[in-house]
Amino acid sequence: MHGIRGDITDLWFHDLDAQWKKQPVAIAGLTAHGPLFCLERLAWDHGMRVVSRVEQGSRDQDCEPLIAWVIDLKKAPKERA
Amino acid sequence: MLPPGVNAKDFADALKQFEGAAGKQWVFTSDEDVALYRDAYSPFWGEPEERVASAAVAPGKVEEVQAVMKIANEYRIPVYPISTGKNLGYGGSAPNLSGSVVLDLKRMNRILDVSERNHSALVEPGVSYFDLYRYIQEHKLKVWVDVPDPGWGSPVGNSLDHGGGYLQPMYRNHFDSHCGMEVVLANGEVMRTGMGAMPGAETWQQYKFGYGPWVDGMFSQSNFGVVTKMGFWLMPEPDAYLTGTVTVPKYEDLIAMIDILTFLENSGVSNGMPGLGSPILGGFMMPPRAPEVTALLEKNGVASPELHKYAQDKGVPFWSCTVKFYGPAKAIRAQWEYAQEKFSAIPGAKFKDDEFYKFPLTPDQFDKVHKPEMGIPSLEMFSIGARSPFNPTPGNGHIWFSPIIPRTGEAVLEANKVFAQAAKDFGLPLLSFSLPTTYWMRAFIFLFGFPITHDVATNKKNRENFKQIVRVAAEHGWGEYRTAPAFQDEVMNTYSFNNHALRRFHETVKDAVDPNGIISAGRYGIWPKHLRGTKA
Repeated sequence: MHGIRGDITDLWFHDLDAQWKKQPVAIAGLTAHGPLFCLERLAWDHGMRVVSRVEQGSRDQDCEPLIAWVIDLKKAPKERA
Repeated sequence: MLPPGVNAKDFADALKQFEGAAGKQWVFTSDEDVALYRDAYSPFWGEPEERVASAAVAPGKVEEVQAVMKIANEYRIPVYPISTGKNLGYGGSAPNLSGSVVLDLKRMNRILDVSERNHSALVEPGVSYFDLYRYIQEHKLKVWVDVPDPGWGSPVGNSLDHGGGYLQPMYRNHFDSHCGMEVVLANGEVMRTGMGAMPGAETWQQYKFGYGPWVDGMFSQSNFGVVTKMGFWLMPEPDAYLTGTVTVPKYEDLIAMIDILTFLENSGVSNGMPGLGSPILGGFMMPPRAPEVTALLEKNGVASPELHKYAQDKGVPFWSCTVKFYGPAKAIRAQWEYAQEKFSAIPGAKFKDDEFYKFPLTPDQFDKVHKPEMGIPSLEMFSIGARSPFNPTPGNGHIWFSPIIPRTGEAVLEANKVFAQAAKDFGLPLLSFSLPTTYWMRAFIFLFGFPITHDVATNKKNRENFKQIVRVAAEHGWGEYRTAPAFQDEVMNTYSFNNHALRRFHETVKDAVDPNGIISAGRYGIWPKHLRGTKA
């Protein structure tokens, strides 16, 4: 469980980057579009995709719509570099 | 999609051979995989003119790049090398020429050397700023890497695209801070520049020029080769960091303030990236603008005598400059004192001490600082674009209009006058007044973000606006330092001295070093012979 306030740097640098370099693992989150935009692109580099994306109808502290999402390996591991 | 001029059989044969060169799992042809290389901020998003790839190949080592280039030459397949492809706002990973095969160098992610004694690094294109920073931290090295903001890109890609950062001037100009490169040429041959050309030399990351013409610049913002290694100078971790702000009262004081700042920077007294501001006009990192100021600004612009009187009556300074210093604590305190003496030549100048840090930072300080100014990569920039009272309707992205202007107060005021008029004439989404950024020591850059949406009509209007402002800027001698592929031809056309002698020289070189025109066709307005005149 990792809370963020718009900025994913800490989550990326201290958790996901090292973990995904060892082995891609699925993650799920509830964030605004901005953090998901970054995480999705970083996930692509490890052969992962956003496999579920559902707008929640609620908003974050900046009034951004919240999205529930899951990032996972879409298929047999064919990494994009 | 097929690459232009390539038939289906040849393309299939080439892809098969790419698989043989790089490995079957590293050639991407499905729509789903290839779509990942779209430019998220494309001003042609969803339109037939959007520049998209036909496939991608991701070699893992230089020999595989060589093999790919030979195959591409044989089949005349246009390839588009990218490092990490994250320079959003300047094109991302999408090619200039639709149908190109993206040459994705992300697997070439080895940090080959980081020298604490020489304060330098040698890396491959797939190494990100985060990777290099992590390496430095894990090895407890007392060096800083100058990072752009955001910092998820690649030192190789960012410097080749003339990106900038935040540390001392010789580091924050990322191409200037490179020292030596390895390049795979279009024919598949490997070349090393500078001292790298001498077998056995231990000075590849120490002396840039080697012997003979220095050709490194020809591989930046160009399409003459594929850079597969690059050396960089790193900044020794300083003892301390200090910032102080000077404010000056009058509109016309901008001229003297910038002249003094320039003297301090060119003398090496101030060595951090300074920040210009206007307390009366407000803006980013400033107090909000008073409604009365907005009204005066909209009525007569920033040159309005009524606005100047309002500022004086309210006792609000017109301009500010935050001066920054890296170095020994005693020395930078003395440098700040000296800077104050110089700025005191402006009547009414006032001073304020801001930040002072000794390194390493405490955890509390770490949380508080602007990370890139400490050589720490960050993605915080993306949260600034989120919806807020200052940004109630964020778009899908942006493209940067970023002209170079002279480093004088007169030029700043003149550029604002010109851009404000253009904004009125063409309905451009420009701010009523902007101050330039100070990435480079010797010139200013204005950075204006043009919004990108997923609405075709809006994007079309913004594209026309962008071309208009490029033209207006060029009429005043203000040229873009970098731009997205969609506008690279327009911008190159503005560098037109002596009937486009510079572009014709680029084309002469292109024809000589890449006669089949397979590398990054059209990048920065350089088209291969067989496409010249049909695209530009």
